[in-house]
Amino acid sequence: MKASESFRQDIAAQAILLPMDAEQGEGIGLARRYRVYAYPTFLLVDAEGIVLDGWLGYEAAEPFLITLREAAAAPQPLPERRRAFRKAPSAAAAAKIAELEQLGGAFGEALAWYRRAQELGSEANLAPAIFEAVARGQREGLFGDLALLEPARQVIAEPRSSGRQIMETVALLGQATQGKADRSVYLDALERGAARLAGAASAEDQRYHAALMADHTLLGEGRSDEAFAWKQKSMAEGWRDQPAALNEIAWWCFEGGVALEDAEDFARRGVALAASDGEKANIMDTLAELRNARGDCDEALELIREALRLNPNSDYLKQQLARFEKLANEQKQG
Amino acid sequence: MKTLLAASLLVALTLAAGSALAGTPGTLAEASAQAAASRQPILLEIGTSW
Repeated sequence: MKASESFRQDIAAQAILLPMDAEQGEGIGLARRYRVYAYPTFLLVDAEGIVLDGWLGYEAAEPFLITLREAAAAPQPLPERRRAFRKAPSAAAAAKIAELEQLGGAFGEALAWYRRAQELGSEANLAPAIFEAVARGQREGLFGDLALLEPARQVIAEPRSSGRQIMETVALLGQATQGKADRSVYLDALERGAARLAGAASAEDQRYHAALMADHTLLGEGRSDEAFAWKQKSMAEGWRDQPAALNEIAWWCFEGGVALEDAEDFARRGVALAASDGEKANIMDTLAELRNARGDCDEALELIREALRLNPNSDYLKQQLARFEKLANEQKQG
Repeated sequence: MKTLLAASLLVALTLAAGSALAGTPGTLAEASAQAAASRQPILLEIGTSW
């Protein structure tokens, strides 16, 4: 962990920390075994590897430790949790089972347990989790696109939903409808999310508002200059010196076909500032896409070759190499 | 390449330095042996190093 020694010791008091890179060595198999669908996934497992608890994503140190302490205080495999629920049903137990079903990729079961928690009078804001279960299930073909509409609207309308939860909901809808002719569900959420966060007090929520405005202005209204201005407003302070942020905006420009020259500058700067070979390879891939979009497939190919030298185990980069080799050949022949 | 989660929205805490420290397991088998001996659970973090 890139964390202070005292934080590490606080973790060590609860559990044996085992960080695994999902794209390298043993991590590849573990990511498959535990059906990991987002990074980072934290799983509390016993010595046999059986999941006792788990959660997604990073938090600040203190809430992270609270989550870990709560998990370590009452570790139970799912079958035991289901048995305990049958004996003493409660909204909290149903919601916990739902979370773990979701973490294990059983999205239909997760949804049923969240509904159960609601029926039992859960006071928690379950709207974001319900939306996520439906969105992940949609990706696996369990639900159609329209099933996403109402859960997304509920997240946005729910007063207890944070700016980040609204942003993540809309972002998942963006992924769910990527490349589809009908993105009305996504556009609906962009418009509602932007309206909900308009005039937000915190700097963080103002950035989320700007990010939603960027996509809404681009996809809903086709005004790319205005969208690019919103996108830059959405970036955190100091983003021009942060490789991950530079990559994020460069990729956004590439996907939207917006300000490609600026995007190339961002990506080149990101490559120069990258702190690790893996990160550098990742941003080189973005730069390759931008070079290709601007008509230079040969440089794109060189960039992908270099990225693969830096991160030789990446299946994604191997696919990109094959793709750009094919494109370069087609250009030479045609 | 787009990352699975927007890193700029998150507070990065973990990975990278974990296995470099003495006594920290590098594989699930090592962690399992430690877990069995200490009766502690394993906190498995699955992410990427960038």
